Amino acid sequence: MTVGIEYYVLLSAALFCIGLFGVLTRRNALMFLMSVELMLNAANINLIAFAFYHGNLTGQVFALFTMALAAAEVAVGLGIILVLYRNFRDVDVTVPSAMRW
Amino acid sequence: MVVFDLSEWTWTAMGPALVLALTALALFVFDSINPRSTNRPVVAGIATVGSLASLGVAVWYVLAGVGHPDTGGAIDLFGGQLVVDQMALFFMIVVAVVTALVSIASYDYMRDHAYQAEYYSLMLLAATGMSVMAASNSLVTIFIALELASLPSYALVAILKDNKGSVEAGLKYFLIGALSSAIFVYGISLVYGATGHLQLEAIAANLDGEYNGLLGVGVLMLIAGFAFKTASVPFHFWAPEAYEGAPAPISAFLSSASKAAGFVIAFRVFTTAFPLETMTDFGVDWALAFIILAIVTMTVGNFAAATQNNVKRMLAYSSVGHAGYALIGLAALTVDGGELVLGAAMMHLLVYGFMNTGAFLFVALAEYWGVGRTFEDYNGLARQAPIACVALAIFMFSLAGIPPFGGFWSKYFLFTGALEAATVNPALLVVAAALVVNSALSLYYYSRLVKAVWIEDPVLERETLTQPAGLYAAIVAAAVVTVVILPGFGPVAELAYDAAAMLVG
Amino acid sequence: MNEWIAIGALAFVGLLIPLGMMAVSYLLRPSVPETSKRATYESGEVPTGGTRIRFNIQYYMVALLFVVFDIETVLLFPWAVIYRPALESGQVTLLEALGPMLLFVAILLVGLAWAWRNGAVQWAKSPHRVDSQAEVDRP
Repeated sequence: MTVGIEYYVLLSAALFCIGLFGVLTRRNALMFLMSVELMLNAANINLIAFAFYHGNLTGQVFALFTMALAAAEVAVGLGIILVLYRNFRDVDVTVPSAMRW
Repeated sequence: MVVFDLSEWTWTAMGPALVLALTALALFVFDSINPRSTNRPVVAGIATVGSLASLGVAVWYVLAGVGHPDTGGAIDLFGGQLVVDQMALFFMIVVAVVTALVSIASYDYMRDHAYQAEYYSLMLLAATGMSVMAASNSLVTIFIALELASLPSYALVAILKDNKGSVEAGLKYFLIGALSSAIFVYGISLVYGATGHLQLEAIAANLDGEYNGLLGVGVLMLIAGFAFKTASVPFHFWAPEAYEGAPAPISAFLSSASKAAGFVIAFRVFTTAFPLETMTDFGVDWALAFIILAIVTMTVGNFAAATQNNVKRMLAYSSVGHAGYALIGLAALTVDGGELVLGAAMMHLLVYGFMNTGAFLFVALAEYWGVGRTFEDYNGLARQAPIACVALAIFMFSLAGIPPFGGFWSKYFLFTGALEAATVNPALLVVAAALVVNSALSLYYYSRLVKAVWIEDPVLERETLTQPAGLYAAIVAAAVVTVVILPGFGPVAELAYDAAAMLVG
Repeated sequence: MNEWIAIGALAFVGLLIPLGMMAVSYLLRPSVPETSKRATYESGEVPTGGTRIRFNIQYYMVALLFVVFDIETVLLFPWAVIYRPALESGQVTLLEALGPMLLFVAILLVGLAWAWRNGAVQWAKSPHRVDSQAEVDRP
């Protein structure tokens, strides 16, 4: 017995929404980064489930690329958060607000 | 014409992007041999030569007819993951031009910066990403190239590590960028679920209407990703902050090259993978989404720009407005045709690459002098620096779309294209009207800057202003092209229309 | 008969064992309240400073290098899967199969060399470290 494709889509949609909720409510830059990772992993679940469903490997290989890019993104993001901390002594994303409309 | 046979070495069709990548690697090697080198002439020289070489290769390919229907059509690489056609080469030229201008200007602007080689290599890596975006023909390569363009850009915006504005701008750019790339990749996964393919032609061939819900949500998420990259509503919030806080040459780079690269993938994805006639049958009418986006984007951008006191921020919002103009290229696509308006949008992005880069480089010059940021601070600059201010006037009038300059012609073609499409879809009359109203409004704030530098008296007495060679050279070059492109508009327009016709037809 | 019952039984047993152990020890153990049991380290070590100390930035640099290079390995996997079948099929030459991956690794090596030369793997006492030490000492 295999699990139907719709359950995977539901799982990934739930994960995506949890990530989105975190992005919208968290003020800590590191939490924000983790929430974005959740959203990327939701996409990975989709890709791998659909690769299995369609019977081709495109989705699996693309999921590998997504993981690598997510790691690179985190590396750059942590660097920016580091200089943020040095300049503002905080990692709260609402603190830097010198520029407004 | 150069006889050029690519049958043996097809990968050389990616030449312009490869040259940029090699230049970035050369800079890394140079910096590994001399760590923390501040030998600016060498570092900036490598970057400039590399981007000019990329420009040369791209122009040579265009002249030799690579990817032209007469010489065998578009070149597919790696099983259709990349495609080199006229549109790809057109946008590779835009990216290379902007990169060259910005690296020349950065020679003076970044003079006291500690990380010279890092700055230029990040810029060339981002340019490589944008160049590859122009040729991407699969959602995989599009996403990878998009990230290759975005990740160095985040670091470049925040490169002034001790400047709070730069760090704040970098943070906001990164946060919104990371969010939108997550949404984008989720959209890709949904499209993959609905069709089972990621290569654009294969997606188009497998649109069977079985999973319209998934497909519709996926397409909507893809639009969100493009809106971020092109700084369109509703993902434009990063643009004013990032452009204002970033070093001015980087603002020029992002607002011209990055925006053009965002548009090229939008053009390619929506014309190749989601042909309008099939998608309308499925009830996913993306042209309508782009009509709304175009109107809202140009209105928001121009009205916000009109209320600004800070010159750099005004230019940032005007850049949002110009994204709205270029979006007409997608909004006015109809089931039968649309290559005219698509070609006009491509031309607009090329002209914009010169005039907007020039305008931001003038801001870079003003920051180099340290004259201040607001319109009042720019008062009377023309008395001390007439050449740069003539160039500024050219950029401003061209951006506003005053007849003799390049900006007028591309807007004019966009307008006529939208009117032509309005015979099929009356909603485009609104788009055309919005274009005219917004251009009229933009004249107000652009001419305000020209008035400040030429007519107003300086508020304070200034020291005599130096004339940094690199910045001046870049500004004058951009100004000359903005004017000279006028007689040369025939071939450029022809290239753009050919490229658009190949894509749509 | 449903296959999910097996999973349910596994989960049940998995919960039962730790809960059972806790219950048994609660019933058997003698109650001897004593202040030293509340110390952070029962060995008697007195902790100095709080838990929220800042680590040397060098840890971050090394971790960053590790994460990036670790993940790049992932990209070698698809290549490794098809390498031998591709060669045996005879449709590609050794250079065509091996070349792209060598190029990929060479580019990574350029990056590593750059990071090395710029001191990313040097364990030097930087001004930041002195700065963070001062912060820890502050009450």
